[in-house]
Amino acid sequence: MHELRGTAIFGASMERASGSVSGVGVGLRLEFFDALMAQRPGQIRWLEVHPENYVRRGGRFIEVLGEAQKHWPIVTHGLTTALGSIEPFERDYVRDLGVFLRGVGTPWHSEHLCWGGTDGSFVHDLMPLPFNEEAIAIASSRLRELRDSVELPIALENISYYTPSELSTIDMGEVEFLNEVLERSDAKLLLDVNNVYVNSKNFGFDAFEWIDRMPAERVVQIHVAGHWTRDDGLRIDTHAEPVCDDVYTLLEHTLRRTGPVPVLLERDGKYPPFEELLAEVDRLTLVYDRATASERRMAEPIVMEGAR
Amino acid sequence: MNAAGTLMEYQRAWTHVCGTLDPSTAVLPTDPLIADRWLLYRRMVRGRLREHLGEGIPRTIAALGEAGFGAWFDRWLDASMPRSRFIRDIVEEFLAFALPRWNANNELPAFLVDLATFEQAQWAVRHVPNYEGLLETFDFHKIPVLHPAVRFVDLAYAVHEAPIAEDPLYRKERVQLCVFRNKDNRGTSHWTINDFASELLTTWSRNERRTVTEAVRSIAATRSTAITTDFIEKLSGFLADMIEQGVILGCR
Repeated sequence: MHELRGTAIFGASMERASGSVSGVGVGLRLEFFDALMAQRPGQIRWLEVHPENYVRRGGRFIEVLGEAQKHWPIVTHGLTTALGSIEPFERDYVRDLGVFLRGVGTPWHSEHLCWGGTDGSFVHDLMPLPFNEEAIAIASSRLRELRDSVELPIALENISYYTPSELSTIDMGEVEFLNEVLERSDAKLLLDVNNVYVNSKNFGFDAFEWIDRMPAERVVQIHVAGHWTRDDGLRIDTHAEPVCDDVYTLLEHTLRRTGPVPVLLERDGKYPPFEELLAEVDRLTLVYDRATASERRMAEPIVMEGAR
Repeated sequence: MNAAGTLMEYQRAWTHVCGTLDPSTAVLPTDPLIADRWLLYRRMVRGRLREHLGEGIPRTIAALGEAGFGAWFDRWLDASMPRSRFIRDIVEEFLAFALPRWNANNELPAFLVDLATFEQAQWAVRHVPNYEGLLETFDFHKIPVLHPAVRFVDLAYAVHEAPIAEDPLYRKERVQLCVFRNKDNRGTSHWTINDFASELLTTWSRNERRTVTEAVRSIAATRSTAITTDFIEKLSGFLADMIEQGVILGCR
């Protein structure tokens, strides 16, 4: 008898990289997988994957994930379990998601603070929620339910949004809204620094002040990405451009607040040569190291000179 | 959009704006800036779905032309937004909507349904979950198990070949294809198969509990095919190729 386990990532026997998730990582993409495996660059410390790309799927995606997880720790980031949707969770999917998360050994799983469809349909985009009590109640309740189902910490990600909502409550801004959902669900935060920056430019608020008001102790992961600016000045979060200088500055400010939480470079289009991507990782690593040096030193074991 | 609406009403209204054929008749917010941004989301949502279909059925889209395809895309979304959380499934969802309508439409190229069916099979086998389970090695006296990433299509036009410089773009000739995911998972391949092979493979793909020997004898009997030495040699070569390419995984 021979065993044919194509989706062996779900099996206990799958080889998996050990080590914690720290430093700078990238999203696993087929577009640069061959270069990633050929070079296995040390500056890429971990990888992020979207479960929807792997659950109930075979072929190249599953094979690539199996190879990748031999060399890097994996963190998962969902695209479609929008926590602000009204829909009840699709039980079969949540079950399969839990199996997948345990299979890849992610330390936490993240989802977006958005809605993504109604009445069984999916828009396949991250749709903004109004900043109001009803949305807070729904998102925090769904987050707790998801966490209980998959038995892992859930991190909530702040999204880019392009319109204010007529349903938003006066005096409740995005950061108050986010903080309230985090508080009620006792969740972690996946802080997307580029999204904060994009929103601050589109809606005229101070991104640094926003960062200062978010609960730094809840941040387990940071996202950075590039965005595109339309002719009329509206910024669109594309993940298809290089990270802009202002976002590096905001990232450094953020890391000084949060300490050394892992940073992910998101890239989802107009893929540059792999060397350019690595140059961005290098620049992020410099910022990460500079901003977190003191905290990382404090975390290291103290060794007396004479005891060496 | 009424500011006093519930979150459910808000999300339903927005979903409707994303999917409807004519957003000008949809319930847009009264504030012109907010209405404009809802339409921005509409473009982003539809752009992503359109791009994904372009990955799945590029030749079908090319055959229809951008405008022609766009009209069918609009009709599909107007009828229903995607029902699957897996964006890869929108290829199947779109074709489930379009194929019956294309079949009934005499103004479209006659090969279009075949071309879409072929691309649909190629897309499906790229993504189908792998087989999980224990198998024994191939044996003529056991029941073969096909890889889940195999599809059989029966076409009236040779759309698996390159287009020709004539009208129609593809030769009119019945072809039966076995479409399968390559063993290295990088892309797909297909074989032209005859009636006998098609029936044999279809039997196994339907999980009918017939051994290799039983299935071959039964099909040969119904087709009055003599099981000669030459036939057995050809059959053995065919099965060996299927095993080599991973189309037949083993037996149970």
